[in-house]
Amino acid sequence: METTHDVPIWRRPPPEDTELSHQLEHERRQHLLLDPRYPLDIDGGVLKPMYRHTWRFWLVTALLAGLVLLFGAIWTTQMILGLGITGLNRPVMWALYIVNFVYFIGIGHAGTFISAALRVLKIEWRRPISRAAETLTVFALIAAAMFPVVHVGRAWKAYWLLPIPTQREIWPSYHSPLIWDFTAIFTYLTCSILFAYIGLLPDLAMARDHTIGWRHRLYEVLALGWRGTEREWANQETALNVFSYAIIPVMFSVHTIVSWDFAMAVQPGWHSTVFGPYFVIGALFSGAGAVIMALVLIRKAMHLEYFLRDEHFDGMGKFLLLLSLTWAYFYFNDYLVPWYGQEPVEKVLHQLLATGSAAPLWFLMIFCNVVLPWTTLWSRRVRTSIPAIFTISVLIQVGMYLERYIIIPVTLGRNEFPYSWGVYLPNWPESLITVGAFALIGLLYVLFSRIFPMIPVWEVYEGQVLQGLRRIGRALVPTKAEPGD
Amino acid sequence: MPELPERKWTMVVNLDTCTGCNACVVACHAENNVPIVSEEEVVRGRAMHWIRIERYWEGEWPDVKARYIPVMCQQCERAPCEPVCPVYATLHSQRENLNLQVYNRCVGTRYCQNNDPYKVRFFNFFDPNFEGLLKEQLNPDVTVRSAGVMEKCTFCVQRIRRSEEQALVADRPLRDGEVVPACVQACPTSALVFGDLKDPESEATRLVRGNQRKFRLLEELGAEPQVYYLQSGHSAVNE
Amino acid sequence: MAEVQILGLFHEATPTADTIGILRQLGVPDEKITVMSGIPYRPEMLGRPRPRRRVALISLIGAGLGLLTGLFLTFGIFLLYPLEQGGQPITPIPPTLIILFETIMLGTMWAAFFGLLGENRFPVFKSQLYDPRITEGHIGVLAEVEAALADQVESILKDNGAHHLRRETSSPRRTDVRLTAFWATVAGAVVLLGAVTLLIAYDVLKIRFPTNMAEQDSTAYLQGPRRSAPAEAIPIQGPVLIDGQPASEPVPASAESVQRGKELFSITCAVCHGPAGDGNSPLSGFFTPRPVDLTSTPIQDLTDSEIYLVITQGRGGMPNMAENLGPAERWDVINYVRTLAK
Repeated sequence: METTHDVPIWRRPPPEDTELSHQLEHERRQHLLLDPRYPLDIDGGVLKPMYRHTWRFWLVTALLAGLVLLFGAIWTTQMILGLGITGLNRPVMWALYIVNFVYFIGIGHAGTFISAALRVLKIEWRRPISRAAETLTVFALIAAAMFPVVHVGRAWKAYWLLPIPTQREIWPSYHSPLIWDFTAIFTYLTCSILFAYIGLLPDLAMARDHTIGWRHRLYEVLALGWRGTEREWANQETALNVFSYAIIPVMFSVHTIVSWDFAMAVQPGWHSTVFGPYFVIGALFSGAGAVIMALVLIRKAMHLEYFLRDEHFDGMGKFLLLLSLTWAYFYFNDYLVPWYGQEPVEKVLHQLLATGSAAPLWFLMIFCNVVLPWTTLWSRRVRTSIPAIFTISVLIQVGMYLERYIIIPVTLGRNEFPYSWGVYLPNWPESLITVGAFALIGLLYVLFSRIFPMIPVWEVYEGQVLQGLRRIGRALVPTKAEPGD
Repeated sequence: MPELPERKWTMVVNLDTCTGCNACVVACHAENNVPIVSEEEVVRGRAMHWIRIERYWEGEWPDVKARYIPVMCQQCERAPCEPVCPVYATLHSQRENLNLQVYNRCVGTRYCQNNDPYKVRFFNFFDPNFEGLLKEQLNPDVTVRSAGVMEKCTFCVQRIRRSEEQALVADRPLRDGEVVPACVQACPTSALVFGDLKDPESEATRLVRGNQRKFRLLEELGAEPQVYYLQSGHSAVNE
Repeated sequence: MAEVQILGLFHEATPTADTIGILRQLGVPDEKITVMSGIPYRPEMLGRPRPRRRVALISLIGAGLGLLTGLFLTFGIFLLYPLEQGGQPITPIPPTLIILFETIMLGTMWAAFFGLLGENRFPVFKSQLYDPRITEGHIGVLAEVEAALADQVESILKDNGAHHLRRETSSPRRTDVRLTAFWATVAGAVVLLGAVTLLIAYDVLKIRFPTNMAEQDSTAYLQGPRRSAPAEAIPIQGPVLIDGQPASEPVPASAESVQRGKELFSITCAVCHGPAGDGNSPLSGFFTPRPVDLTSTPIQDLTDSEIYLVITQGRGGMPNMAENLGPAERWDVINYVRTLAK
């Protein structure tokens, strides 16, 4: 489409041909990046919902804050009385706390994947969703990082796992996968925060320019004096590229190391070489589902229908289906080899899952993780239907949570000596702490979304400037300019 | 401290003479200040016995035999529980070939228990409760562990140390049979024998060397456990 | 010579690029022109030179620092504290590689972030010539020219479609109070956090936890307060008489006795009184009062019998050692303690 170059993109006139004009309209409805608007409207679309504090907002905040306080109260009780108040017992020394740890770390994977990997691959529809995904990563990681501390017997001594000099003249042992975990999560968490912050700088400047009062002063400090000069953009781009390329292997390493916590042990059912990639895929699977849920919720709560469109849910839905297929492949690998080996204790485990007391959990997991995505997500109508994709994402969370539950407390209940078998049932303290952890993520997310722009506006602008329509024959086709490197 | 000689402490358990009387369990509780948990806790699977008698049934009714097997920490040479500890709370004494547990370093990650194929490590879910005069019977040589800490059989390391120190002061080598862990001392049928495999003349070496009846638990895992079991003939446990 | 800054806003990239071209022809050097925009325009789009990019290089340096940190955390610690675990080598290679990978990545990314701050001279708190419409999609061109050229530049900007022109006389560089305050706060917070951490880690700020297992039920009955020595106990030189116990004859201070005493001391006494007997042991900081200095004159002035009584019955916080040391062994220890006199 020919346009004069000094007319801003949001003011360019539609083509005179009615057929093309219809086509343009259609494309605009479909694609955010082809639907430019007056920037102040876009800024307003992102900034205005941040001021909106309806009674619903306060109700949700109060509810979540109450659950977080409950978390704190139960944790304090647990520290005073001992871990005995949970349902842990002798063979099952790791249970719900570690399930939560693995689950939340998993949630923390999708955000980085979406913003870093899709950035590296220059996949354009990522633009409006990367902030929401990165934010979820950071908060899920914070919740996950708490759980090892909630889990240990003497939480007030947990700092002994940090490599700092102490009077004890002893440092942590790097033989232990837990220290690998600590190093990897520290790297991943701090770098995810920095990564999100670097991408946030131009939007903070945008917010600074359009606010007054305490918000203005806050954004003034946080934006660090960003003016959008060429030097600033160039350095930001390099930094984002460094982060994107570096954080993807770190992301893979984090969940691989989490899987090694289990795979390094001689516990039957854990000692598997496929655990690394299997866990990474599982993490991305549950994480992608969680991102969809977050997108649906902020779209509804903050009226971001302009930014978050069918194309995004469609893309995420395809991604989800792909991950479901991959997850099933790895799970089958992990299942087949011990099944073929017919080792007595592995047989016991498989019987427990297929016909034993854990069978309902196992079949529900298979349904949520495999049957449901495979039968629904191939359809574009399902992928773009908000209630459908939301329900599927919730059920995938259930399935992936069950998967971790089966791997940890259910598997731990069986070992080589039938004398030491046991059954774990969650008790109320750890169940409420789990609820509190979900509430913590929700609370942080709600508060964050009122202070920081949830849509990377500059990325959307950039996409709108770079993307356009080209006429080929009788049709208008979206094209993307990809200048420079 | 002067250099002490290398040791390879080992326990030999003669299953053919074990009657499953549980005297060793009681002796261990008394010697090592092992907390006695409530009945309710035992039902929840939190019993604490550094040595336990596992009972298995062999054969089908009416031709049934009870088999007993005392299981304590196997003091593995390549203990799987050790390297997973992030704070060096469990580590190896090369000199004595003992699997040490330093209660004061433990933060209670409980990873060692997961990676322990024998499940002989115990976690203090609550603070131990020794009421009233029960405190007076506590062994001053053994720390009472607080809540949140892992513990396990130490081969009565306090007795090993005391005997070694006595021998050192008297300037003589340690005699075989001088170190007697509480369970060994209490065993009425002498089914438990404790000794140093580095000492070629010790009773333990004599029992282990070339004995057709000997086996070790889960030997295929390669943890090199240092508890030898003696049993004649085939048994379900032996598989 | 006073310099003037002129900022004009444009709607689109093409007129911006044209204007920059005209300004360059006028003799305004590239480094005196700053372009500000709400989205990243490529330099080529605006006909601008590519800015210098050093962030990648800085992150490479960070990777090196991360590698060194990783080497210290693995090999350094293993060699400082060689403790055996599970038959693994003291310095195992595969776990080391994992740690090195993570610390290198950590160094790379942190350095990229700090490189970004440094290269952009962030944070900036002083007022800069800027227009808030830039984040609305306008492109700002800021030219820094001599006062004589200012009017000409302004009219060029205006003729090419620039709107919302602003002009400001460049002020000489001066230190920014807010920036200094910012860095002082950051440095102060880091120092404070580090100091508190170290004070707690080194037990200067002591937090007593019952789970430290220092106060023990199992030894409680051995610990004070003790009864004073019975009336029958008479500290004299020669045999010691304690009610209910056989008289104890001193052991002559032969070389063998002192040698035995030395070993017994290292087993029984050194834990608290220190290997040198001077009251300095790793544990002594945990006691109030601290274990006494056995080499000091007040202790050495005690008679042998008095020391014998203290070993047998304990005193103050010191438990009785009757169970650990037999009567003859106590005399060996006394003979050894006498050799510690300063």
